[in-house]
Amino acid sequence: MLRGGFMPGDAVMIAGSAGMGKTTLGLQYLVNGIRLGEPGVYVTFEELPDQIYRDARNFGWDLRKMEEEGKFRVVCTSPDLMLESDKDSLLDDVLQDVQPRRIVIDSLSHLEMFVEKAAMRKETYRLIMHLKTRGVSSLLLWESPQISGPSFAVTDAGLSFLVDCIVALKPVEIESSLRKALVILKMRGSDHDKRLREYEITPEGIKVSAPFTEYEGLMSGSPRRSITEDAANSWALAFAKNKQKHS
Amino acid sequence: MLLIAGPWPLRKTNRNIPEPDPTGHLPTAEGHLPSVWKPSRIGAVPLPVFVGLVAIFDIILPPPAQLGSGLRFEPAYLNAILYTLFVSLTSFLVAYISLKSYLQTGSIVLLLLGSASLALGSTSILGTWLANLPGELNAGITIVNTGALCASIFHLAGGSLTTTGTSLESGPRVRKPLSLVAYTGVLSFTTLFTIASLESLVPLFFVLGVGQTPLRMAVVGSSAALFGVSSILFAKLCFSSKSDTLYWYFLALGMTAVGTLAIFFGRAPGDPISWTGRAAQFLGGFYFLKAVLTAFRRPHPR
Repeated sequence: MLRGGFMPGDAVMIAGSAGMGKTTLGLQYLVNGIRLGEPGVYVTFEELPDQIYRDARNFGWDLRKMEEEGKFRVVCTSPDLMLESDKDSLLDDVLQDVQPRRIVIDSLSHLEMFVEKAAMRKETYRLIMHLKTRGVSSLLLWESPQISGPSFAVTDAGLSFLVDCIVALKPVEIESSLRKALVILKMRGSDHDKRLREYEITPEGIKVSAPFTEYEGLMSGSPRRSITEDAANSWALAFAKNKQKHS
Repeated sequence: MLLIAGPWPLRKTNRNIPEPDPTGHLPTAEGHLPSVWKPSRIGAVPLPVFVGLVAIFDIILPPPAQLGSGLRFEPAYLNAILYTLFVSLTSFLVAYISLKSYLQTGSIVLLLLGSASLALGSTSILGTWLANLPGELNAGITIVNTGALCASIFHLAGGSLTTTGTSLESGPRVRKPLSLVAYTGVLSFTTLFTIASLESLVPLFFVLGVGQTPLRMAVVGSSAALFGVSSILFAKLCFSSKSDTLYWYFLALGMTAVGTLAIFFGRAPGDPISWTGRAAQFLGGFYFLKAVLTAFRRPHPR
């Protein structure tokens, strides 16, 4: 989908509502990085480290061991502490200590509790640039209640313009069941896949599968089969009617 | 007796059954009766007309050796153009929608119908255009007639499976490879058979100035019979399921059967019988298109 993955040093926003697997995706991003020799830091404002370790273990990721090896660090803090700009800030301490190539911030939305809406863009910009100048690729999780409609904004604070890539995670209702869709809304410097793809949270992490080619109107929130799929279904029904009568 | 007070019309129960008024009188229930299935009668008229025309021409036309050139009309490429438009393109459309349907449901019947249409469409387009090349009339005729036989066999298999209610379905994992094998197989056969016909590796089907060979008569006769039986099978299904798609499909097969039958009785390419048969096949192609279009009609929201 990304034509080779995220660009090194890029700021990537993962936007999605609750239960869409943002945290899992963030952890998977870090674990994959560690396997490639890139240390990672996970900054959380809402979960305690033990919860993170436990949840990660369910996917077969031993974060505690990675932490002991100095390849990983969980930072559980409050957003105001992270935003401190003095030299001995918590974030700088961790960056110096772990020397990460990847960082996940779960979630950027929590900054809104400590920063006025008007200053949100400025603070986010400061944070992104702070990480970029240190060569750290960042994954910024964003809680967006709803991503739908013909024209929509991922955030109402204009953060979409600050990041290099936006990945939207969206629940879609198809035939009375809730399925998970993923789409790359933006990626600077890459001709990325524009299609909505289904993904699943499996015991090995998030797995992206086939695009929803059979459906249209997924982003509008009212998906339906595409006209050719509908016609194919009618065609099949016409030739299957007799079978139904027999059964 | 319980009397229900309140303004009229009274509220309805959760079963949408109107409750009686205070005098015990029941109002008319809302809702619509299911509409009665009315297939297009005009669409069925050409079928007996074409059969009649073939019979009349067979009676009045002289044998091939005595057929004058005035009774033949065969401008170059006209037949190829008409076959491409009315037979091949519509067949490819049926093959496409059948493939999509098969991938959705895994029903082997749909794969058979798709393969039949692909065989008919690909051999028609190749054969009719090749027939215009100098000295390749026999090769062209051989390809078209053999393709029709293959298509009629596939149609009969599909019709038989559906009529008997035999459920042959392939699992989601094998659908793509199986459809690929089927469609590639049909196209490979068409290609190889075309090469074989052009290289004169296939026995003669038609000799200019003499007429059709017994082999061609056997192939064409069998195709016409198989198309006819398939048409009857789908007609039976159509009237039991009241499906517009099946209605046009069985008529299309019927017209194709009549078209193939006309070749059997034809004296020479371009004679009145062969044009009657061609017209029947072209109309059959249009009916295939109608069948596909009925599938594209979205159901009206209720």
